[in-house]
Amino acid sequence: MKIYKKLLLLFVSMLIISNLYASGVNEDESDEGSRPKLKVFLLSEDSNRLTLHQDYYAPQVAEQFPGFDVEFELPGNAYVQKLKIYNAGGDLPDVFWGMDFVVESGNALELTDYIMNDGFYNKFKNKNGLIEYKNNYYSISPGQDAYFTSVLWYRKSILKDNDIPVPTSFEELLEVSDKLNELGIIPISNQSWPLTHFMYQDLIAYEDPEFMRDLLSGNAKFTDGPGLEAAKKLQELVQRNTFSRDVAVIDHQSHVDLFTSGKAAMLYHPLWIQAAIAEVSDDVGFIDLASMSQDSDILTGWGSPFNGFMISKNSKYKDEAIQLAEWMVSQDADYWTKEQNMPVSYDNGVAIEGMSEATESYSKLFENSSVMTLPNMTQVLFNEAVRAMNEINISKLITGQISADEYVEELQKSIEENS
Amino acid sequence: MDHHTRSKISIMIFTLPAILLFSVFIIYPLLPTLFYSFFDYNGSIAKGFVGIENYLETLQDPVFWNSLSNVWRLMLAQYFLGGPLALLLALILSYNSSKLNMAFKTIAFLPSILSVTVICLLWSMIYRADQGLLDRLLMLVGKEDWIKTWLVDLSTVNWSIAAVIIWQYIGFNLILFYAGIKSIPHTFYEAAKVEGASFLQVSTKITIPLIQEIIRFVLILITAGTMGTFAHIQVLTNGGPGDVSRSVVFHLYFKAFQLFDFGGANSITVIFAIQGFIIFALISRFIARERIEYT
Amino acid sequence: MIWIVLTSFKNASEVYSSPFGLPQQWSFSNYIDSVKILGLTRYIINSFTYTVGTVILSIGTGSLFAYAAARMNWKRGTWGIQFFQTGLVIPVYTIIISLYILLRDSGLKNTFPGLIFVYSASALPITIMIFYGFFRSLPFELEESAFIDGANIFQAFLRIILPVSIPAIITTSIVVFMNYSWNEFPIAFITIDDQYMRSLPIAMTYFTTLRGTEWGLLGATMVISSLPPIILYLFASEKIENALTTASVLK
Repeated sequence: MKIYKKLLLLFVSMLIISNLYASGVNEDESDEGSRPKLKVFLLSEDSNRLTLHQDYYAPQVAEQFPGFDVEFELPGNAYVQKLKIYNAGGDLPDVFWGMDFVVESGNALELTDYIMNDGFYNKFKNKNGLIEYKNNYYSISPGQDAYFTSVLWYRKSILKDNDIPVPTSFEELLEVSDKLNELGIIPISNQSWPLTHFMYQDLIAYEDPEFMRDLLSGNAKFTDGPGLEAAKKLQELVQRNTFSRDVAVIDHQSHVDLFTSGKAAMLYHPLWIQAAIAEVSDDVGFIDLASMSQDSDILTGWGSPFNGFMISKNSKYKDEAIQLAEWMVSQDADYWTKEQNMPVSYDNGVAIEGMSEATESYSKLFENSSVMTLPNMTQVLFNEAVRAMNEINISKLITGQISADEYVEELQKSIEENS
Repeated sequence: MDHHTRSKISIMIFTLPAILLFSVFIIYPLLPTLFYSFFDYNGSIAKGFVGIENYLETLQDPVFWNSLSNVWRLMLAQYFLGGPLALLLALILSYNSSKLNMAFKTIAFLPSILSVTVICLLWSMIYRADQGLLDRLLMLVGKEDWIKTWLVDLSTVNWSIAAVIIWQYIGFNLILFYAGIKSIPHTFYEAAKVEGASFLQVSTKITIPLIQEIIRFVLILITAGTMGTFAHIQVLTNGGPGDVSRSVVFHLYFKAFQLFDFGGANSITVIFAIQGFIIFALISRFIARERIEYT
Repeated sequence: MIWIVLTSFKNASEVYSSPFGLPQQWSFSNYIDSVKILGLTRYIINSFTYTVGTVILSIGTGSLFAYAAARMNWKRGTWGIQFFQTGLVIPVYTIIISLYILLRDSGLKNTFPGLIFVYSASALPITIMIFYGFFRSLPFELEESAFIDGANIFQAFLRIILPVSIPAIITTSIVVFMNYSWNEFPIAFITIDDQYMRSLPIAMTYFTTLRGTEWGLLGATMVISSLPPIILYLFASEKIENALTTASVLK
């Protein structure tokens, strides 16, 4: 009896106390609630995004937008999941990093008129930084993505010390891989993300750049010659142990560490990885997989019409939300140009100093109109469902569960079913 | 006689709150699920009535059956490894009471209260290639040839996951068994002690039969808990490599939130619920039979 | 097992070179930081409120229902039990969107009652099953003695049955507390947008966005968030044992 009463008392008092505290805190908030609220939902998985929020947005937003209470939400790797729920429920945050399904369900605001009228559009020196979808702009970003391309980085010292020449063709790459394996060094540190989004495309472009163009415009199939060949090449790389044995599950940090610690001789990852491998930057050279044996260069860019800040169609403060987004774009531009020494399509008047050799050489290529620039097929050709299935199938391909033939068949089928 | 035991009003008062709560927050949201399982539904727009097509597709989908067998594997692992191990430990602990008991129980119990994400992140570090604890241990004792890529190799991936789940909940089951064993009055043991019975004899002939209620209860808890496995899969392997290590709930989630095939996902829900129903019915019957034997 | 415990303590120290070595410096700065910088107090209180509310509501309604099914002359008793058994097999993702819309439209989103109702509803099946089994094993004399004294069913329930059911109450509390509330993730993640209303597990996810380099803070948070369950368990396990022994003596 006594124990029972004590327990009950304990529970009830905890409940009362916590409720009191809770309602007390709530009251504090409602005093401040006289200012309208703007909700911003941000990507927050990598250090770039986190720094942007911590050092750029958060400290200055109150100054820049004094009439509003701006709230940032950073959900980490659960971003897409949460966004889907917001989208399904129809109450998206005012500003958020966009995705295709939001536009497809009609919840994204068309920004074309706004950015044309307030001069934002004219601030872009590289128009590839703003990508249209069905003749409308839905997202804005500084367009640094337009310069991101995939790179095969290598440790100069490892190759030199072992008399291994830098490969200039796929066959040479395989030979180099074999030699490195004999020496107990992992040839290429790779990870599922760059593998899925860049490598297959690079190999197709390596086979036949025009074919890749046709694929993107829907005039070719993955099951045709070069598409199948590229898949076979990918499979070959796996079978020759070019990647680490846990490539299907390796986490980002380990993937980078393998390269910086010298356990792997090469690293396959887009341009933005430079900050993470800075400690060995003196020893790093780079190869472009797609143009390895071509006479001219082929670039696979990144960027989609949806990757940027989007505004919710139901936002109560559309104009202010757009201004906020535009301001955030300018902050992003500052970050990339000043801190990361990387070019952006948005003109913030900053001349980039100290660009790395890689960044510089690629920037020149991007701004050279005679160079073939291919958009990233996973962003432009695939929709969400196709991407999800593709991730599964790439994983199956690199773990030997399916053959190259089956992979391209599945991919082609998936694209046809979902368009 | 009439102390309200038969009064309909009293019965209503007792039962209504629970029924209301459950119906509003569980049954009511389920209705769209059932409804849309007969449609081609992408989460916001119903594209057309398709009858039982979703169901047929699910039943013919090898990935579905693989996911289901993964779940069954997990349940069997708990039934025949996790549960018995916990029971054995509880028997040992209660047989030899010592001061270490408390410490041991607490340490064993810890994993079950930590969040699944944390546990799985820790285990993915253990399973990590070359750097992980498991690989390092094997290298230390010279058994390098036993090393596999635990979360990638098709032969090890599902058991690696099972190991994590068993490990996490063994303490919890242990506590429950222990409490049950401790509640047996000593009178039952006295006769055995006089005759000098061994640990094995005491356990099997006296203890186990007397804690049937607890065993039954733990069995139900394990079943319910394991069927809903999702977070473990998501954090450890994300269903991979490919879709090899998916659980049914994961497969459902994938269909709904990645492929936007809510119709299909809903059909999986219904089929899975029916399966669950059958399993629970089987278990109840299995346990009921045992009880009859002992009364 | 023991290693895991050590690791979680180690995670709370300032800097460590390898994940598997011993801490170089024990420091409480992480604990203090996580409370201050990350506003842990708020989240702890939130989680507490959700959990305590859930435990009370689910046991309150569940035990009543189970009693009716087990002991009162209710013809549909077994149907009732089976009705709730179905709840055991419903994965949360199947109802999550409808639930979100329901909570939003009823104004219960981001509120304490909202999440408490949902958690309690999901914990009802297991609660009812535990109590049902327990009640069925009680001897009839218990109520009869109360009736002889002239009590009605409600009084009998409150004064006699409940106190005897303490082991069941405690067991259920632990189960509900742990599996359906304190560490619960999917429902809380999806239905709570307001950052002040977040529960601990959700708050921790938002911390892990710091790429693993902030293991110190995370570790401290983990330890803090594990404390209440541990305390509850320590407090309760003794009670369960005592209560169970007394219960069997009563028989």
